[in-house]
Amino acid sequence: MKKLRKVNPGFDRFSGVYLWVVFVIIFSIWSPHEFATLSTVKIIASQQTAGAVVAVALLIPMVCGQFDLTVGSNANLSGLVAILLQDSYHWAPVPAIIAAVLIGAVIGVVNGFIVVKLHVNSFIATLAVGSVIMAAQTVVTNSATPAPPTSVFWSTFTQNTIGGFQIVTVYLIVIALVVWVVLVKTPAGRYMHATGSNPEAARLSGIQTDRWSWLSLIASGAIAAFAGVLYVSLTGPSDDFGSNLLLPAFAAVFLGATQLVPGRFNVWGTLLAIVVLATGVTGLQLVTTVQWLPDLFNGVALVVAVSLSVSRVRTFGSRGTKGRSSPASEDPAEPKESSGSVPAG
Amino acid sequence: MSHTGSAPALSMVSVSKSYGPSRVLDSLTLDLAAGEILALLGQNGSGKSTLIKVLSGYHLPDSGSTVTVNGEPLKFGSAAASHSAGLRFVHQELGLIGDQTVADNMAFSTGYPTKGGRIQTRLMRARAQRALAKVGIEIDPERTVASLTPAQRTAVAIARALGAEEDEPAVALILDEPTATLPVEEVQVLLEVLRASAKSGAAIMLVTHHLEEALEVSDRLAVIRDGRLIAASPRADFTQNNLVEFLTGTPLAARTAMRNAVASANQDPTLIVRGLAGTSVADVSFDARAGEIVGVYGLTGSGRETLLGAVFGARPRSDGEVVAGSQPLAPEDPRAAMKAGIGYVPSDRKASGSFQLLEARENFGILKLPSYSRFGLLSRKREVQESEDWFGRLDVRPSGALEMPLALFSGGNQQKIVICKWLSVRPKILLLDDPTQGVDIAAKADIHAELLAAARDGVTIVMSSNDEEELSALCSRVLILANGRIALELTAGDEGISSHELTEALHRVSADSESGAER
Repeated sequence: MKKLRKVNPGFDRFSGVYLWVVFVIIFSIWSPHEFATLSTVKIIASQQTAGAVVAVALLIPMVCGQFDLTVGSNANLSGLVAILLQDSYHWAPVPAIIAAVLIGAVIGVVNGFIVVKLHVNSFIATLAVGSVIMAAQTVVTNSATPAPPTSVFWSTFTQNTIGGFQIVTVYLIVIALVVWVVLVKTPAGRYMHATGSNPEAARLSGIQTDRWSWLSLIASGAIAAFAGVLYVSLTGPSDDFGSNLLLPAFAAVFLGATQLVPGRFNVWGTLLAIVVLATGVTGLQLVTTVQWLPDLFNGVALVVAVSLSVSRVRTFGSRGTKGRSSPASEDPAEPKESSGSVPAG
Repeated sequence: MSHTGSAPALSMVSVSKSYGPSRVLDSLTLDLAAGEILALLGQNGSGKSTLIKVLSGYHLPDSGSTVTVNGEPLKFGSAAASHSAGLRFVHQELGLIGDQTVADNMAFSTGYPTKGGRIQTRLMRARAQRALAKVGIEIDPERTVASLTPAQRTAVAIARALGAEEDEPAVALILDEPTATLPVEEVQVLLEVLRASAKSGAAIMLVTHHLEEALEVSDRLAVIRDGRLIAASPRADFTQNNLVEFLTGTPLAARTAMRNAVASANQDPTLIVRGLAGTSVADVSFDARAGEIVGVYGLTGSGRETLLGAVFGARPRSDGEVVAGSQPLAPEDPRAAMKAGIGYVPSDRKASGSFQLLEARENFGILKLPSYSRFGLLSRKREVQESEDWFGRLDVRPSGALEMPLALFSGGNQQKIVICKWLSVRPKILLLDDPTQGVDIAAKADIHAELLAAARDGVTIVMSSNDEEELSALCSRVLILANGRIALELTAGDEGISSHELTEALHRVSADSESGAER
């Protein structure tokens, strides 16, 4: 590996950093008075934190090989429930927030049940549960957007500033740190990576793959719910913010898998991807007034990110098989119909 | 394309390929004549696959390399150019679609014959039939590929590559280890297909690990080692022994397998299997003792491939008992089996034995994470140290590449890593399915030495294999399965069990079971 790394100047692993530098230079020249300011940095930091927390949530089941398409709708529902509990039932903010996070965890339990016990593919399962969550949201809110709570704590708990940065940034960093430690530094994280890499081999190594898949979905549910609470506290409640969080989170997680620890979903790569994408979007918003740019940008970024990680797996396979005939060869030169559907002898 | 008559069908002249400073292919020069079968032998990492990839247009060779097909220079780096020049490839992954018919599978690459946009089914079927006849095989083109035997599937892939008369002519056919995944009894079928293919005029290059089959089917053999051509001569110049020397670069005497220290039979058994039934096994009972290596042998489908998986719990067990130590094991519970001290190395390394995208160290350490943790956090140091020790002991190459993803190791080295992952937890019982399948000779010797050492340390080893040489070299006892039952048990005398004895017993047993089925 040392040898491989020596040949590689890091362009591969740090391409996001280079891209970010390019963005900064372009937009600084294009719009020197607006873009290259501390306020831009702060805007990016505060606008993106909820989205970044959703991305970190999504990352956990992805490591385990499970999709969680409910993170957006979950955040939306949980955020609104936290507000409703305060508005209509006069709960104090902290218990309301805890209840919201618990709702997110319950959503994770349900997702996990469908995936693990009913053996439904996680993509389909969470797509379906997402629809159920939207229905639940309509019932709970009675189709009306609740008013933001008026308590002081509700706004200060996200908007207090530390060194000019809103405190939510600190929450994000703490969550990211914890998730990173769990995924990289603990046996649990290693088991989850193994489960995502090859569930059958994991099972035969005595790993409780069902348990880790389930737990990963519960974790993503709880963290996504907290992200929803952060969002409504920062930006104010709305009916459909969740759906706008989902796609950028996927883009960041996949793009992140090409960064820092290429070939692996990883926390810091994901956050780097968020920063790069956000810088691009914010810069574009400053130099043009076009409304549809962020959506376009995120959509294109997701395709680019996934295609990058796919091509990486390919070069990876071919590099590994040079002069070898290991069964690990993933040879793109083979005919297209080699879809692997040939039953093994 | 001009047929200059005198020019060889395929000619490679000083073909080289480098990755940075390392030369994977070093001025390789080799000719192939029409109608000839050339066996190309080389260990893992010798450069065989790189050569195939250069020919197929996947890799660009270094400048100065020349390849001509029927005298015409080949344009490098283009799969389309290789194909139109007349080069055909059959990889281990055949690229057939199981639930489609043979005729459809063949039409996918040659194109469907159509008239006014509609597929002419009869024409398509006839064309498939002719292409199959050319390789000397008769299969109804309307059968699905999934319903064929593995050898027939390979034959279909070969027929597809060579095509019928009206297709673009195939000049040379290159096969990458076509027999590696075939059951023993089907290898002959495939060799017959190769002979027929050569008779039809194609030049054939057979890349293989199997010395016997190379000696049997080829007109000429070529050996490459470290990217260089070591030997290329007619078959008569080779024997098994000098081939091994050419392949490994060391005389055979130095690497003859050690004889297993036969376990003392008066010990209590550590593994007791009674009346076990599961996928293709029925009513299997046997014991195994500490320090002995028990072999499991049999034809494909005899239960050889599924027995040990059912014992461990990787596969379902519908009936019977498995007792490890004094602990009865629940079916399909690998965790319980592991707790009772059983380890299991499955035969399909990629699908169920390893984590291809995880690092070598992570693959190695996955069973022992609790012991690498302090206060719930993994400590890299112990894991690195232990994997370094084990990788050194089994001579895993490249050395020191602990952080390299497993997929980047050669097959033999991956297998070593998987085996030392299990050996390092010091199992009481180690079950292995085909532990050296697709592994080159040197790695095989290392793995054998390690298994013998483990047995000497008192591990009970039960291994299935379709390699008589291997069973003969390692086992003190071999169970021969037929129709899911133990049909015969061979016990080693002073001379051990010879591979000849095993082959003979296998034929006798399968003949018995067939006549039994007829009655």
